[in-house]
Amino acid sequence: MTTGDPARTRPRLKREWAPSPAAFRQFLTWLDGGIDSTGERYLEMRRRLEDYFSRKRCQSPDNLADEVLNRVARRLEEEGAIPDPPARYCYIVARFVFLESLRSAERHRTELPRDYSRPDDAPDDRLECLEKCLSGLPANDRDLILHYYPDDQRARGEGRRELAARLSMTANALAIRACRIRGRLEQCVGECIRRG
Amino acid sequence: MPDAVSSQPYDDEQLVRYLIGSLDEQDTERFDELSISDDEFAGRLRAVENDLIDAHARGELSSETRARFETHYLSRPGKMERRRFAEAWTLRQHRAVSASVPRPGSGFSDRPARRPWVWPLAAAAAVVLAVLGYVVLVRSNPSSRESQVPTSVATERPKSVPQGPGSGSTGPLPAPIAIVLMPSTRGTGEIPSVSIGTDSTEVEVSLVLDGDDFPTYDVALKDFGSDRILWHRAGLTSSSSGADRIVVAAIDATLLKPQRYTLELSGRRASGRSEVITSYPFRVVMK
Repeated sequence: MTTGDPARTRPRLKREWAPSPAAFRQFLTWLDGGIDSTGERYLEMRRRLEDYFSRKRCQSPDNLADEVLNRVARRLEEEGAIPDPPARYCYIVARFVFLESLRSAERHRTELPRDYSRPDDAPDDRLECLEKCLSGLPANDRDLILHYYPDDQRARGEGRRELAARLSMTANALAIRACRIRGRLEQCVGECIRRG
Repeated sequence: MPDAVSSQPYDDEQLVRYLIGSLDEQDTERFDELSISDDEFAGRLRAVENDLIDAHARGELSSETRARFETHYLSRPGKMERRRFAEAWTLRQHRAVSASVPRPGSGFSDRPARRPWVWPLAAAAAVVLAVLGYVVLVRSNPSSRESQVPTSVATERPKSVPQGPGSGSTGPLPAPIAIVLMPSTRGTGEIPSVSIGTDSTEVEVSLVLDGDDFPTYDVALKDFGSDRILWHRAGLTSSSSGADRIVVAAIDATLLKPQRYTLELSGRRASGRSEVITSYPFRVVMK
């Protein structure tokens, strides 16, 4: 168990603290757990935290994710070590940050009625961007995502099992890889649309 | 107690309920923790989320799940953008299959690319001949049209096709097709059909309005069985055709297979809010 609650002594969000370069390197190394991920692990943890706060319907999931990472990095710098596994400790801090956010200005967002049936305003632009981004992927990634997300939803299960077997991957490893490629593709299409 | 949390099983159905906010509090808290601390769970959750968004884009969610998905999930920042990506992806993949385009690269599969239909050359030639003999719908008298054309559809050359000298002397035409669909209130209950050929590139659809009450209209092509949106066009305006007001939309013919579809017409108010007006069912027949 954690020795004390790192967030309990901080009743308000403290965004003013930022890790020094040395503290940040120490934090990345600790987060990697001995395997150098060249920052991937940090980005992945930030994504998970942002998703967590988003699911909790917080107003600024990205700010809160940064707050968690800052607090963890700060404690690591101050104490030199944290006995909990990195991801587990991040969750503990995230939970406290979430509870604090409920008491502060970071209130749950107020829902506004929206028209979710409204079609895309620029479907052709999006399709054009999608084709452009797809062609920019490495051939292996492109083939994988085209086969992982086929047209026929019902064929997905069987197709994915075959694909995993062919690539000698577990179903979960294949899913993670496909999700990463899709994430890159979505980001690329979003940037392409914004550029117009 | 991380072991107690991670050792309890979970399935995709629970993950869906977690994502749409309908899981009980105890499991929600457990999944909250796993979503950050457990690599396998986090990966699985992301995969299920992608499939869930795709299922919504395809219109494959139950009404209850769909409602929860829209109010709980899509209302979160950035999620509509993800939903739009899923829609574009669905459309792209559907077109790829419809057009029987071999999928890029074949390194992962030794199966041939799916071809929903294969057409002999002779049939294609017959299609060209058949399309050239199109039927022009009598459009000047709505009442007589109802009695004479109970299927409320006709095939004709679209107005956009050049009709000038020489237009028919450059070999076979690319089989342009136009159809006119009447609102269901004027129909006989029989689903109209339209014949298209393999060389058809576009189907120009004229939707006859019962009333012209909106500044712009949206049209969505839906799979009849699943209600999945296959194509849509926004911001269309109405025009006159004889005594009627119509909305014209040009659909990429490669999207169409020999099956039933509906075209859902929505009106959009100046405020941007849209209202579904009616649907126009029809059947595609391949020649």
